[in-house]
Amino acid sequence: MRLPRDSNLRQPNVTAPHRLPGLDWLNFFVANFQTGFGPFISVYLTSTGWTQGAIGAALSTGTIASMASQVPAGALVDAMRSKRTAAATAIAAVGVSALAIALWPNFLAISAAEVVHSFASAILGPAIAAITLVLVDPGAFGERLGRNARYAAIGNAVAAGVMGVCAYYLGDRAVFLFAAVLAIPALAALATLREADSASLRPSPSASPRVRARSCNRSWQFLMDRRLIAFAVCAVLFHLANAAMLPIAAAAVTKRAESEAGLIIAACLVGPQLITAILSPWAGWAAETWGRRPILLLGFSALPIRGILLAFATDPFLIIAIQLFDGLGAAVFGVLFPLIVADVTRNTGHYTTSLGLVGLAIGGGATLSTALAGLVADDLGVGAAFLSLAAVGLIATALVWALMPETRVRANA
Amino acid sequence: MPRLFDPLRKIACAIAGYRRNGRVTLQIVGGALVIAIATGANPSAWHAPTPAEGVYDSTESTESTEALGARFQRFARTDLFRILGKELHSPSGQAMGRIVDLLVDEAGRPSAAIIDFGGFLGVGIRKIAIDWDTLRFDQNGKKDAVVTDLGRDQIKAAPEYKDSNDVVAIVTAPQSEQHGLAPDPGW
Repeated sequence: MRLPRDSNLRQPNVTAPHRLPGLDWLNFFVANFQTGFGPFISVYLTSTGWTQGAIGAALSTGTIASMASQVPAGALVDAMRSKRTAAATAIAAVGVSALAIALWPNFLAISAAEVVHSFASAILGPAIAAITLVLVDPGAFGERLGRNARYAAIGNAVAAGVMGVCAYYLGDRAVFLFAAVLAIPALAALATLREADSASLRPSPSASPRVRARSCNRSWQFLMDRRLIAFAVCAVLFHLANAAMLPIAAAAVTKRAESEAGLIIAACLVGPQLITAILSPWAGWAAETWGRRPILLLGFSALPIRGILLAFATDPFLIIAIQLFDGLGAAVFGVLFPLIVADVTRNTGHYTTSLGLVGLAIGGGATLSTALAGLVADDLGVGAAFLSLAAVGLIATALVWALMPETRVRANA
Repeated sequence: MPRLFDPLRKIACAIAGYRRNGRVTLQIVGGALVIAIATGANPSAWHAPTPAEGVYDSTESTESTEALGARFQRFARTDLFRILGKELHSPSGQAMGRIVDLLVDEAGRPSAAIIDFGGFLGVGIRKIAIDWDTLRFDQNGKKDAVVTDLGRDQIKAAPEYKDSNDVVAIVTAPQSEQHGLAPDPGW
């Protein structure tokens, strides 16, 4: 994507990052309908009379499918010329799986929906990142990713509120019907991004037929990129430290708080999203201006601080305040994950494959996190669990400092 | 995993049952469906409770048939109900959680119901075992909710139920001493 007109990186020419309302809404609605697929699905299945064993089996199927599809889905998006088609198919598939979950809560349909949803989600994230990469100039990519993360965070926050109300007044099934309906505005937002297809005809970092034509041995050398491996290792540790903090803190709130426990947990979910919405564009701007390393270190350092504070906090309202640090970490990671991978895979034609690879690392770290922290919490108590997570976060921060080089590439370099 | 086979087995058995004895299958309605079809699939494994055992209630809503060497009892849909997934309410009508599992003693009598307690959109849920004797199922003939005598405060501080633990702490009403709370494991 090295076109002559790119020389001034503060003035993107393809499309200014703030002039893509379709991309804003796409991120908003996608985050919106994905919220229902979280831990809420086990609540819903419980309410339809599922046994715990069956719920565990269906959700594990989804987890395994999600891990298994990260890299193939990324490679598929790389291979597809139209990232918009990839994203549209994935959105439709997520909508259909939400509908199936709402209408046929039997084991076969739910397991199938979980698998379809996992694969579609593994396509959707990289596809949106690739569309963004095609639509904006390299110099404006960080800022645009910040904006993407902002609208995704707002979507998450709004969805948590709306779906909570939905579940309370209309029943658990309504949450999934609502999620299915949201696929329609998401597709409409995607439909407005026509430039994404025409622009992708140019040689771009995400899809370059010339690069793909190289020999197999050569084209997979991007996997050996030291920067990509270093970032993947840091990402595993980030999520190993991060993923279990909210569930354990929320369970502690359930145990300690009075009847308003549900509202406090809701605040622990929504509060960090608002912080993410506020900080993400700044994180994108700062990563372009000051470089990736300092911002990455800042975001990672929020983890040990949060873990140590949660270990000693007992007041539920204090837990809400500490959870706001989650917003800083999420903003930095949400922006720098697609940004650093784009830096590292520039002109290789393997952007979304690499996103899938790091996505696999993230999934592994997050899954291990809840399992290991749960064991520590059972045997040694919640405080010890938070301190262990803080220690992992500290190691993650140290590894960023020791292993991660600055990956920013100046557009005219 | 049994869920996977349930629908398939139901269909297969319904077809088999219909071919062997169309009359019986056609009479099956509502809640009795699962029981009667399971009987058709495996007659030797099902022992229908006799009237002497006190389960059979000779009201107009039930009837008994003999076919293929097994007895079928039919109950009206409103006389039987599933318990997994039912909401648990406090006496004041406050939602306390959902019943997700049952614990029975050696004699097969229910000792406790495991409930999903608290949380928001599935985050922060704790599994807690509630004494079966505190549960009431006859809320003005309304069968979609189960009521417990326990209050929210009595339940929330209980240690979490874990399938793997040796000791199960069952939350029970203060006046009854039959179970008692196990020591809090470090929470």
